[in-house]
Amino acid sequence: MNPFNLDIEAILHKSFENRLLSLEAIKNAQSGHPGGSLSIADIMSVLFFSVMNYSLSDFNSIDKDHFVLSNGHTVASYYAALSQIGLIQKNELLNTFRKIDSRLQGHPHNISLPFVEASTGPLGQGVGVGIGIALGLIMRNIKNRYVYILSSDGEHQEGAIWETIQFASAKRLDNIILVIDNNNIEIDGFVDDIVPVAPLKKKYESFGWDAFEANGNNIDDLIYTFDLVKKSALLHNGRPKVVIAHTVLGYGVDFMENKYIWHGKQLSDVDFDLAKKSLEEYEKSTLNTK
Amino acid sequence: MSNNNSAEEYIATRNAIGDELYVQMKLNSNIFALSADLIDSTKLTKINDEFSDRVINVGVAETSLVQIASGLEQVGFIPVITSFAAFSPGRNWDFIRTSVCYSNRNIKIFSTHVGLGVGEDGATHQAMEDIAIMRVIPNLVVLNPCDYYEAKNAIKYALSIDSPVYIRFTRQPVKSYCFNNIEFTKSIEIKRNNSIDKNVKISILSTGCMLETAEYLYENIQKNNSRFTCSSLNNFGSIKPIDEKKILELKHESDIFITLEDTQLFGGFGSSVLEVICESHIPVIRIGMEDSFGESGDYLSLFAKYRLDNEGVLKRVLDKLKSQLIS
Repeated sequence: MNPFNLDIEAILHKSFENRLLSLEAIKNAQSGHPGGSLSIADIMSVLFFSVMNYSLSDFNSIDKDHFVLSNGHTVASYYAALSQIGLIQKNELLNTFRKIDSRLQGHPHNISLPFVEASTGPLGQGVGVGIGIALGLIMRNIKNRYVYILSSDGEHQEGAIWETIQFASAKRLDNIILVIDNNNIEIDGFVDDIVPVAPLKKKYESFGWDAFEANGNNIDDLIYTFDLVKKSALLHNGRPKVVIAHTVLGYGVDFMENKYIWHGKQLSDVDFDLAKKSLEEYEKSTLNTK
Repeated sequence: MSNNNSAEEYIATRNAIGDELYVQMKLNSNIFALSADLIDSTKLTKINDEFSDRVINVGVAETSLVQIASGLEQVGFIPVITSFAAFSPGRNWDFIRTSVCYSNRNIKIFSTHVGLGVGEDGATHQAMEDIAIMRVIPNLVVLNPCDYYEAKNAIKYALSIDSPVYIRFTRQPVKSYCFNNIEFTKSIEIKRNNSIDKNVKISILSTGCMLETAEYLYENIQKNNSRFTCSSLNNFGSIKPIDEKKILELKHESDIFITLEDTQLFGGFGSSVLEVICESHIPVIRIGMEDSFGESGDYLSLFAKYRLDNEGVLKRVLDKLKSQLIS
């Protein structure tokens, strides 16, 4: 059971708040990765406020759904979600992220913050660690718990990912739900222009996975898709699941959207104020269309 | 310590994996062995036969080896990852750094086929940089046992501590010196000569498979040059943490150190010793691979060619002792 189980409108609000928290933390740190943090905010909010089953009082238990952020540079959104569910204080996020002596390291670190299940940042590692957790759950005979792994399309240029993708299907680990933040942007430009990773759906299917696609910036579509994925997982067909979530880098902030310079660009106070205004308009217009 | 076994007993230290890891897996059902398609070569055959549900073969995929182990450890298992040292840590070093050491995971990295002893497979498979690249990683214990028995003790020790540990094992047979089933220690004094002559006193510090050659040096330096006396022969089974106390004690009683290893001198065991004594003025002769790759050949010929056999090492040492730097 998700401890919040929020409805779509409430999740939408959480995703707006997640974006604002991420951007303010990055602005205060004068360091971080705003673009990806914004593109995954809807996925994070749907996972933490609706889809994943966990208990706040026993968050470190093995017998729960697990989460690994493989594209660790988008950690601001992860910390924002952890602050929203109450595991860390918002002040800690806004005042200490990426600063000296902080628990909130620039990339996820399982020792600094015990809620984090895998240290990531160097791309192409977290997916495999998540797959290892999934194998461990089966070895521990823990059933109907899933390992949610968030990766990105750019990360799929790392060859190491594919080692573990084929391992997962070989070992019939159908308790994996991998989500790919597919925003077509990496540091130097568009993924399609540098070394395309498409067609991801076909690639995953050929590797023995069940592949789904969703609009990763649409709460309704994400909830609908995860529902489908979970129903499919209950069939225990031995095939790991992947959701290719089509997103827009910088989503919700008009001047950042689809601009690869915002992968890791710092925000000035003026940038932040403009971004906040843009996000408020985005939330208002999205709610109006409900 | 004198030899507990027949003076002629030679066993590959990798055999200790098949024997001691088997015992430990029998005792602790949380221990998993992971292989990257090298079950027989890393001596997991019997373990795989008996505990097949706890042996994970990831295929020819050394980064996967580490990632899967890291996930297994997250849910409380104790993974032991096995491969050739040229590939693990040779290929998966960044994964070991982040997903094992930075994460401070209770994962053991057992790597066979170290150094020139690999022989005919040639330079690609002869890991001689592994000590240098592993000892720089925080949280990691780095062990280099000298023989089969010390390797068994090292495995037992590694599995008794909650820490990432790297152990390197030889493919080739090496002479036995140590006792079975005693507590692993960072260093062992193998021989000592308390003579009170006025000669220049040499302490020999060896690690891994070089102990037999170190013993040969110990017995032959004085015979070749009467100005020198070897005062002690020491085996360092632990590269990190290194036995600083022992090194400083040896420094106090010695005029010269000789270090021996089957790995690159840059960043290797001898460099570790230098780091400990860098503020003193004791000359150190470091013996190891001199910044070159190996090649194909039987391992005895290789050790001879690269002057890591008894005669080659003795000559290198005697030359250095004669040099102005030392005298």
